[in-house]
Parts: sequence; C-alpha cells; structure tokens
Amino acid sequence: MAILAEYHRPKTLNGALDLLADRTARRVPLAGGTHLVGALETRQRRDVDGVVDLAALELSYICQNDSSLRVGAMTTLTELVEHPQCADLAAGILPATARFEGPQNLRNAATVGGLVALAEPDSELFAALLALNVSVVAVDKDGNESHRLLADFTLSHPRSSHGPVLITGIQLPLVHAKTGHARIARSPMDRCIVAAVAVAAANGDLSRSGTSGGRNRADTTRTALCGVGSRPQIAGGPVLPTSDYKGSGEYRLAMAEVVGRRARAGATGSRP
Amino acid sequence: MPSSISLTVNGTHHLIDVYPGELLRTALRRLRIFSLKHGDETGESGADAILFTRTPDDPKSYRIVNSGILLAAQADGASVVTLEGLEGEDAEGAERSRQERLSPRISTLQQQFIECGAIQCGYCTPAQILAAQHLLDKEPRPSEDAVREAIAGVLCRCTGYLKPVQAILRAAAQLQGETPPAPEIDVRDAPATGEWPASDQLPSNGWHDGGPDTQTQTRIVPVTVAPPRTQVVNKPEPKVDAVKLAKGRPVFADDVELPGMLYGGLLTSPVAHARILSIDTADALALPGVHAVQTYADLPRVIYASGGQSYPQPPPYDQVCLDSKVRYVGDRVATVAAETPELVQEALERIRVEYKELPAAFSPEEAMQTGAPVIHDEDDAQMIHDAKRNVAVKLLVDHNDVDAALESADFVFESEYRVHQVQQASIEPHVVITYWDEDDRLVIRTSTQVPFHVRRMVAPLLGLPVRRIRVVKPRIGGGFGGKQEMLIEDLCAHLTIATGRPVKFEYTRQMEFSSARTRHPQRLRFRSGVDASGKLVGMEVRVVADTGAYGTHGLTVQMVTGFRALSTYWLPAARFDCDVVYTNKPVPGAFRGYGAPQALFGLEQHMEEMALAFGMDPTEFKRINWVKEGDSLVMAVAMGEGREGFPQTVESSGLAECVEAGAASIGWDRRRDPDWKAPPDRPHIRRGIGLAICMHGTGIAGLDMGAASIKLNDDGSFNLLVGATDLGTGSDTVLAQIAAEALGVPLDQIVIYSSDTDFTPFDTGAYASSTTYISGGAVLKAAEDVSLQIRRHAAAHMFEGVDADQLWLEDQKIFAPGGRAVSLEKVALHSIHQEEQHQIMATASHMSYVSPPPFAAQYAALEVDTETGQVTVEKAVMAVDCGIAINPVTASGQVEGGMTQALGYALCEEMPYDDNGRLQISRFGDYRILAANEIPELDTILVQTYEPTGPFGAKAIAEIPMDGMAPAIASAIFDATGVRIREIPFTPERVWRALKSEKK
Repeated sequence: MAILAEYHRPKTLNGALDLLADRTARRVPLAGGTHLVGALETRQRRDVDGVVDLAALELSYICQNDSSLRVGAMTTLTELVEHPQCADLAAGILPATARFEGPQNLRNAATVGGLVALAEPDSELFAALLALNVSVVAVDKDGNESHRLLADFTLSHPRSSHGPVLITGIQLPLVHAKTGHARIARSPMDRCIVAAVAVAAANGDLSRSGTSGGRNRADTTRTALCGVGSRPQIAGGPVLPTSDYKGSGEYRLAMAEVVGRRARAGATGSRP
Repeated sequence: MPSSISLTVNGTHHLIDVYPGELLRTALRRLRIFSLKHGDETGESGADAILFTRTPDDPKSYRIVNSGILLAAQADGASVVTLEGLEGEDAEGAERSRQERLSPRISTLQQQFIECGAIQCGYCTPAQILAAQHLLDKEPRPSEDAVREAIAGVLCRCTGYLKPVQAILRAAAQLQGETPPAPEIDVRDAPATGEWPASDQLPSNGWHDGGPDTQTQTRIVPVTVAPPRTQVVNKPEPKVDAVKLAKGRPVFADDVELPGMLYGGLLTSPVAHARILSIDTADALALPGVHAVQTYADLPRVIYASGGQSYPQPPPYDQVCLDSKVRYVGDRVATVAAETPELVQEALERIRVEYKELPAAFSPEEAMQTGAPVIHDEDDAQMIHDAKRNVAVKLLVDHNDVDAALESADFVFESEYRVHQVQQASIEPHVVITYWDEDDRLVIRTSTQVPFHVRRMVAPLLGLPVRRIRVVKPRIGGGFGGKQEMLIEDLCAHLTIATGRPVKFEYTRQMEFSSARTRHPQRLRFRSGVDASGKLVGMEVRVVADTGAYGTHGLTVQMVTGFRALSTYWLPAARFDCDVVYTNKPVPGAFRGYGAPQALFGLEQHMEEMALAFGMDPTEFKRINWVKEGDSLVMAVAMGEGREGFPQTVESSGLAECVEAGAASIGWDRRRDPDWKAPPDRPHIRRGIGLAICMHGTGIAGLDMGAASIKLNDDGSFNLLVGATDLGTGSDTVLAQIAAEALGVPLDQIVIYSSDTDFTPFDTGAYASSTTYISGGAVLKAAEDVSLQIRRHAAAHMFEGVDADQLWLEDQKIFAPGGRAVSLEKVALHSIHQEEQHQIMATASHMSYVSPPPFAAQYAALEVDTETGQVTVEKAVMAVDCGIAINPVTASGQVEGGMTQALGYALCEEMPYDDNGRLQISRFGDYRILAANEIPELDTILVQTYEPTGPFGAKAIAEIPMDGMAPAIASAIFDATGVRIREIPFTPERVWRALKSEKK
C-alpha cells in the first residue's frame, strides 16, 4: 500500500528540479509509473515521501534533428516504436525488442526516460538502444543540459551537486543498419535470462550521432548483452554475471557467447 | 492531505478527492466502476485495465493501461473508458428505453465471449473485452497474432486463452457483416463397449425414451454412447452466469462497500523459524483510525487444521489463529483493522516484534535428519506422526507381497523423479469481508471453494456456534484448490468481533505467493518389475513430500499421489511408502490435480524408461498394462482420502481411443521423419513428440456429498439451490443443464443460486473433480422428485384416468399418451393456488461409493535448442474421456485452461528460495504464468464414453488436464535429444546442463 505524503506535477523543468532538490522531503521523479508505483504499492520502496510527476513538462515528443531523432523522456515505449522512423530504424529492432518490455498495457505507460533511468539488466530495448549507440540528454540540478552515451550514462541522486539528475530525452542515430537479436527465456514472452542485440551499420559508422567522438568506430558490429551484469552492456568488456533463480552465473556466461554469436550472425547475415 | 482531481469516466465528468498515494483503480472503484479488478500491485495481471488519455479530444489517443499502477493524481484532467462505458449502457445518464432496460444489452464482443465459452471465472473478462474492443476499433479485421498481442497484458488463469481469442476473431467477422459458423468442439464417441441401461423403470440417469407414442419399455439401446435424445444436456449451452461476468457487474467478494467498513491487514514473519519474544503494538494502536491490533496474546488458542475437508479433518492438527512461534517467512504474526488501507499499512509497519531466531530446515531431507530443528515442538499439536523428526504424516500401504513379486520378476527397473513447488495463482487473490448482521450473526462473504467447510471450521476458532455464522460465496475469481482452505476467514472475523465493524481483508499478490497455499514438492522413487511378456508384476513407490510449515492437505494429497501412481496400471502387488515432512517453507495445500500431477510425472516417465530398458515400445507397454473396463483398482480400499476407501471397478474407459485420437492430432508419425526431427537449416534444433496417459478420479468415494433443492414457480420455471461452488468452471451451468433436462425445460427456465450456508443445502464444495458427478447426482435426484410431484399433480387434476408414470415432461409441458399436454405453468398455478395447494419442491442429497476414473492421453510436440537448453512447445493435445460431456464448451474450456496451467508447471512456473527461506519471487512476471501471445497450439478432443454411475453418463474433467503435460514434455524432450530429465521445471539451464552432462 503506497504511503505518500505528496504528489507534485510541475509545469516547468526548473520547477521539477527545485522540487527534487528540496531537502525538506524525499521526492523522486515519476515518469510513467509502471515501475515506481508498483514499488511504492508493494512497499519495496519506503524511502519516498513524495513524487514529482513529469507529465506536464512537455517531454513527450519525437522529432528529427539532422541525422538523429530526439525522443523526449516522457515518450511512451508504444509511441517510440510506433513512430514510423523508429519503427523502421535498423530493420525494426526497436519494436522487436520493445515487445519484451512487457505487454502493451505496460508499454503504453512506460516511458523512454524510465527505461533509461532503470537500466534493468534484462531490458532488451535498453540493449537495442545501447547497440544503436544512443546518447542520453539530461539536466543537472541547475538545469544545465548534457549529452552522454548511454553506455556511459548513470543518473545522479536528485540532490547531487554533480552530474545529471533528470533525463529529458535520448538522441537516436538514424543509421542504416542490419540487426540481429537472440534471446533465451523461460517462455517465449518472458523477460530474458540472457539476450543480445547486434547492430551492423551499413555505412560502417555507429558513432556519428554520439557526442563522445570516435568511440565505437565503424566497420564493426556493435553488440549489447542483457542478463550478464547489473545492467545491459556492450559486448567485449568483462562479463561477470551473477546467479539468480532464472540462471546461474555459469549458465549466463556460457549463453552470452551463444546469443552474442547468433545476434551478430543475424546482423551480418552469416551463419551463427 | 487529499487533493481534488478532475476526471472524466465513461463520458461523465467527476471532481473527486484523492490521496497522494491513492491508485487510480481505487478511485475508480469508489465511483462504482467495478469492472476493474485487483489482480496484483505491479501491473502484470492487467485485471484493472482501462482506456486512458490525457487528450480526450482526440478519440484515437486512448491507450490501454493498468489503473493499478497509475496514481489517481496522475489522472487529473484525463479521460478514462472502462467496460461500463463501452456501449454507454451502464454509464450514468445513458439513455435507454424502458424495453431496453428490461433486458441487458450485449455487445457483439460480449455475445461472442458468451457463445464461445470464453468466460470461466470472469475475473479478467472485463479487461479482456476492453482490450479486445480497443483492438477492433483500431483494426476491424485483426489477425490471430494481433488478437493475442492485444490481450497479452491481461492474464487469465482459467481459459488458456483459446476461447477468448476465438471470440474476438468471431466478433470481428460478425462486425464486418459475416456470419461465423458455430464454434466447433471436437466431440467424438468412443466405440462403445457399454450400453444404455435396460430397465422397466425410468433410468435413474434421467433419460427417458420420451416420444408421445412410446411407452416406457424394456429396451437395449444399440451400441452407442451419446445420449440419444437430450435437449439440454450434452449441448453447448451458454454459461448461466455469463452475462453478468461479460458486463463486469459487481459479483465478486470484493465488489461491495459496507457502511463503516474497516480494512484488515496481516503482518507476516520475515524469518523462517523463530519464537516471538515480544510484540509491541502500542505505536500501531496509537494511530488515529486504527481500531484493532491482534496478536497471539489476544486470541484464544484453538488447535485446528486449515484444509477445507469433510469432518473430521484429516490430521495433523497443528495450527492456531496466531501463534507465539513462526515457522516460515510469510507466517502469521499480527493483524490490524483500520479506517483505510494506508493506515493499515502504516500500523503494520509500526508493530515491533522481537524474534528469537531458530535453526531452520528447508528440505525434507534436512528436516528428517537427526538433530534437525523441530518445527512443531508445541505440546498441544495433535496427531503429528513424529514431531521430533518433523514427519507430519507417514503412509505405508501394501497390496499383496510386492517384495516377492519383484523378486520373481523377469526385469526390475528403478528410477527417481523430483517435482517442485508451484502456486495456484488465481487472478483474484484471497479476499473476505466479515460483518455482524442485524441478528448478531456473523456473515462471512468470502472467495472460497468450500463455504460449508469454512463455516464448520471457523466456528470453534471464533467461539461461535455454527448457527450464528453465515458464509456467503459470491462469484469466485478462480481457485484451483488454493481456496479449498480456511485461509484468512478466521483472522478477518476476529477483527470484526474485536471492532464490531465490517472488515475487508484481502491478500496482496506478494502475500498470495508467501502466505497462501501451493503444490507439494515431492521426491518420488519407483521400483517395478515386469514378466517376460511385459506385464507388470509389482510396483513400489516411495515418496518424500514437503508439506512446508503446516500439515493441512499433507495427508490426503500424498494419498492421492500414491493412489494415482499405483492405480493407472494394473498391479498384482503394490506398495506405497510416503513421508510427509515439515519444512520451514510456505505451505502446500490443494492444487488442481491434488497429488496426481506429481505421481504422473514420475509414473509416466518410469513406465517409458522401463519399456525402453526392457526393449519394448513404450506405448505398447503402457497399453498392455493400463487398467481397462472391468478391472478393479486394487489400492482403492486401502487408499481412501484420509480414511479407508471403497472397492472400485472401472466401468467405462475410452483411453485407447484417446491415445489414437491424440496421436493423429499431434502428428505422431513425425517422430520418424528425420527432417522434422533435425531441421537441416537449424542445426541446433531437435524436435520431439511425447505422450503421457492419465487417469484421475471423480469425487471422493464414500465421502463427498452434495445436495440440491428445486422448487416450481408460478410461471413453470424452477429455482435450483445448490451448495456446490462454481469457481469459474461452469458448474452452475452444468447443474442447471441437468435439472433442465430432467424437468423438460430450456436452460433459461432454471434459476440457479449457489452458495450460501443460510439458503442452500450442504455441499462439500468444489474440489476432487466432484461437482458434476456428486452435486449433479443430487440435482438429478431432486429434479426427478419434482418431476414426479408435477406428474402426480397433473395426473390427479388434469389427466383423468392417466397414471403419473405414463406422463412425461418435455418442452415446458406435461404430456400424456395420445398427445394431450398441459403447460408447466398451468400445473404450477393450479398446485400453488387452486386445488390441493402445495409447493412442489424437493431436496435431494447424493453421494457415491464409486469414483469412476476419467482417462486421457496428453501429447506435446516441441523443439529443443541444444545450444541453450530452451524448450519451445509447438503443440499440446489432450484427448480425454470424461464420460458424456454435460456441456462440451465448458468441458473443453476446462481442458484448455488445465493444459495451459500444466505447461507452466512443466516449463516456467517455480517458487525459488534464498538460503534463508525467503521466496525470491513476489509478483507475476517473476512467477511466470503464460500469456495469450505465448501459448502453443492447443487441441482438445472429448472422447465420450457412457459412465453408468454418472448423471447422464458423465464423469469428471476438471483436474485431469493438469496431470499429464509435464511427463509428455519430458517424453518429447527425450524423443528430441535422447536425454532423460527427471526433474521439473524444464528451464533452459536445467535442460542445457542435462544435455551437457550427456555429452560427457
């Protein structure tokens, strides 16, 4: 049973930031609520006095900006994948992976900002955004906007004096790419145990839309893995999966190789 | 502090005050939008789905979302559409003519849900229909995939989704001007070996020859099985409760608001085994609005067993309402009653409990070891077999000398299997409302399968006589055995007694998992011998079962395990040896199948493995050994449920036909097609097909009793009052069909009411696959009695010179030889108002000393990813002999839903624990029940036989679909890979490890 003392729906970003920075109450941003409301209702989260609903900040939009799409943080996952350019992007990898975020009842409420903020380890859509080399647009407590690659992005505490405290959107590169996607789950639509998303850009460069320069240079297939760490991650680095009831660390490690290989094969058209 | 929000609901604008943490679902239900149901707190059940928009001027902007994970405050300025608003009929201010108001308006979609049998318990139906309507508004001709995707966010535990999908597709076609053909159910008659009863009297099964020119006569009906001339029975009649469920009306336990009602809550144990040293409730009680906090110190200590079973309760008696010791994470500690749910939560969090933790045991093997912690060390527990060794129940049953039989066998085979703990997971949680009525009687409105047992069992706990308690069972949102338990009624009633106020108490989903009931995990060891011809000469089954912290159904579930394991195949000698062991884990109880799925998982694999080791075709091996018509069930006398049983002989079996029909449907021959088994273009895929046969029971012989009352009304209709409990299975419909058939009226002339301990006669309740057979038998007897009274009255006053035995009831009339007829209405008016006035009515009880087994063949076709271990079932088939299907639609619905649950049991449902006995799952999603868009093709074949002891030839169907899917999948995995996996669930890692170890 949720026990909340406050609900706020500020109309400006600064208003939201002020509410979040205010030390008189423990407040957290509320986007779609699909995760937070459940966590409050089950008392999984008891450290919250109030919520700051971001619904009135006009952060629900998708617009083209040169060779990328700017997607507002309050854009729902459904709006994201139904947008024609997003739907077709990279051989349809966004709708293909969004299906596994949950049924449409949840996707209709869950937001892009929430997805990025949560960075759930089994989020295949997050992995797709990673593989597409998305960058995150966020503001710090003073309203200063920054862009960081999703792979490098972490959200700071709302009252932190450094770093981004509120996600306002993502920057989605409009790459021509082939993609591959492989997953293992207990049932066909269950959230994955391990999954991989690979993106092979036709023009050979996945880094253009990113703001961090020459990282992840082209001509390589970029693969992101789920279920092998505390959040989805780009393949190639150390993989240290932990065990849980869905799969042991040993299994996840072994399967990371399998799904990674299959996803890359899907993206490159080779035999897995 | 509350704030005011502006909200448009079904076109009507509201200004309502909401608290910051209040859910939109709660706020809408305060507006009497009862189609929204509470299924969980995390949005995965979808039972509270609504159409929602913040831009109502754009009709296309409505999206389906779950109102239970939206704060009401988030909806300020929004517009919401619910099922009530789809057609405007129930919305406030909707205009309807007087004529329209006299009969409910049913949308095309609702009509198709009703016709297709897409509604079982109906708890998720409003959300499914809403999601479907939203789809059809966007896509008038959706594909099946689109339909499945559209309703995937609304979990259904009853139907297996097949009929809802059919209903939506048919509605789409109808809305496009097409006339879809009637829904098809595959019903076949097994080539009969039986015959219709020959008698000089009307057969006791209610069928009569009937034609106006035909006298009742001795006759042998030619070889056939289907009733030759039924009007209502064996027909796909729509469910009698379908309209109210399709319209989302307030019919469930939670759908009432009583003046002054408080909310109840339960504090549960965070530790697996501990003594409570102290409980400080002062802070909780100090909260304004908190009316009661109760601990073990406040309640009388009365020992009981919570399983909803007949008197006397099977032992052990090892529970009290609240104890000073906790025995599992989730065990009861204290209760609270307060003005709001939020206050309840706050009060629960203010209760300070000091625990002295004790060592715990989490497996039967640990618990039985010398020096293991004693879980029930209290001195007032009764009839625990060996408390010091944590053995709640010991079962040892011998039939003939099994050791000698195995000694003499030509071939002996031994194998061991493990089955795990799963949950019933009905979408409606346990919920109860208690209150004092105007006569100071305690009313318990509860979602239960066993209202009469609850009344009897709760009375001593409350210190009230049974006569001062009334238990009302409204519609139930699924049970599957989980509600065959007196689980929370006592706690809620104690709060009403303490406060004098109505109290509502409902489990959260997390509490459902941790503090409700589950299926017993077991380790089963089989040792069997065969002679040179392949005939079994003996079988020994050794079971170690985990009953968690309390015994409840521990004795009887395991007894059924033994009976099923040792009765499906004919055995000259047999032994069942079982320890039912306490552990510090959540408590198993009744769950659809009741020990049979565990038994069959071991038995069917054991038989297959033995055949292969012996060098015989497994199906042929099973065929020569399975029990056949005329065979006695040798363990029946020794293995009644909790007491001595009664001799049983198989009177009907369509098993051979089931095996044949199922094989054709699944494509059994593909097992020999190398390209199908190992598709060349997918080198890591192997395919296989597996079979399991099943035998279940129909009620508990010599124990289950149901009763029914029928009375004739002025217009020739009938009231049928039954204590039987329809938990979504359609039993109200089936019982009404039996009455209608026997009384010669259409189904709509039977007004059924179930069940209320004040108004309906006794029934043991909905369990043991007994309702159609036992309660149906009572209905049939009562109807025959009423029929006789009608015919006697008519003979005396309306058919001069004609004997009552020469009359018959048909088409709402009483017919006499020669074609004369009077209407039932005339007889009713005459008997009530005009001459020899009396109420034509009858009450009858029925019990049976036999429990005729239904039989089935279950098949699975699947593929195994040999690199990852992932198993994907492509098709599941069940061909089942349920006798005569009283209603083929509801019968096939039972099969589809049961098969889907069984798929979950085999593949993805499990209850994992950490090292401290804490469940690692607390929500749907983590506990994966299958959604509409991930169900394999399902095929149901009803192979009808005629069961001479059943009403109109019927026997059971509700539980058997649960029994054979796991072993069929195990068999198919073996067929695909050559690897035998003797433990469920077949998770990717388990299969991967098995494949890997086989390679070594």
